[in-house]
Amino acid sequence: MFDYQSLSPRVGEQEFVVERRFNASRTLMFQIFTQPENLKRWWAPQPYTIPICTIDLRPGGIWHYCMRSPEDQDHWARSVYSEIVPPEKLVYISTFADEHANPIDGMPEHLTTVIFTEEAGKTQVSARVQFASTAALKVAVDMGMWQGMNMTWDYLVGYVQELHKS
Amino acid sequence: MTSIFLLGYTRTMKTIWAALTEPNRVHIVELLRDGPLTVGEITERLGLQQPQVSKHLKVLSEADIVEVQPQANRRIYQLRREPFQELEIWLQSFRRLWEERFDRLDDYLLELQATEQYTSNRIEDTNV
Repeated sequence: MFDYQSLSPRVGEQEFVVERRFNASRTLMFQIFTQPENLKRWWAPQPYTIPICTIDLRPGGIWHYCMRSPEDQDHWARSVYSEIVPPEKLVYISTFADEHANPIDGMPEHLTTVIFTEEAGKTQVSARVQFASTAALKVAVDMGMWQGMNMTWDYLVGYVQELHKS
Repeated sequence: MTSIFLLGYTRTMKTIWAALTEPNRVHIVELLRDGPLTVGEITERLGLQQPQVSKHLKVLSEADIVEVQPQANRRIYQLRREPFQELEIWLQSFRRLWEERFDRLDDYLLELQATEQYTSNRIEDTNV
């Protein structure tokens, strides 16, 4: 049985926003987010690399790239741009794909909105990530509260190791 | 580490996600959050036909989202915690992916600007 007493009233975290201020103009920041040669340098999670990245920067255009593991395993992702306002805003829908940019069935899509705001030569970058099935994710997050927000990093590490074994 | 989460997702969570993308099933899950219910109680609260509800419950139980507790002659449905913990962990890993991405972007910017500085110094040197 669950401990219903520990249910949190917190609701609706089916999206998240991550923000950071960078010491650069937003023109430069926009280029860094939209040019393959720049993205290859920082976009992939460690220790992955991005050997292939193509971008068709227009509404409806596709951003398709390959993330390669140190063991040479390839994972492709694709995003379709829905809004492009240089150098202020980028909106795109992403999912996992194959090497021909066909989305993989059954994978959730997520919508990312990146806003670039320039202030005194620095640029605030705000990335909002929203999941397609927001209702489902809202439930998921609410239920996650049963476990409490005290989930430690150790727990996560253990979880990863389990995933790795299976 | 974050990337492992993303890959972990592809292996383990497709069925969970598919099961939860149907609005009536999400509704059932929301009802069960408040405690275990019988099929009859769920049917009544959803205002659907019982065969429909049973179909949804079958999908949810195949995805290991709900479990059945037989109690006397009734079947009581309740949520399982694990799939939701997985979703929650996955979501948090996604946020972390962005945090780490911004860390790398910070480093990359420094690198870019150092090169730029070097280049502009060189130009000044040449002008002198």
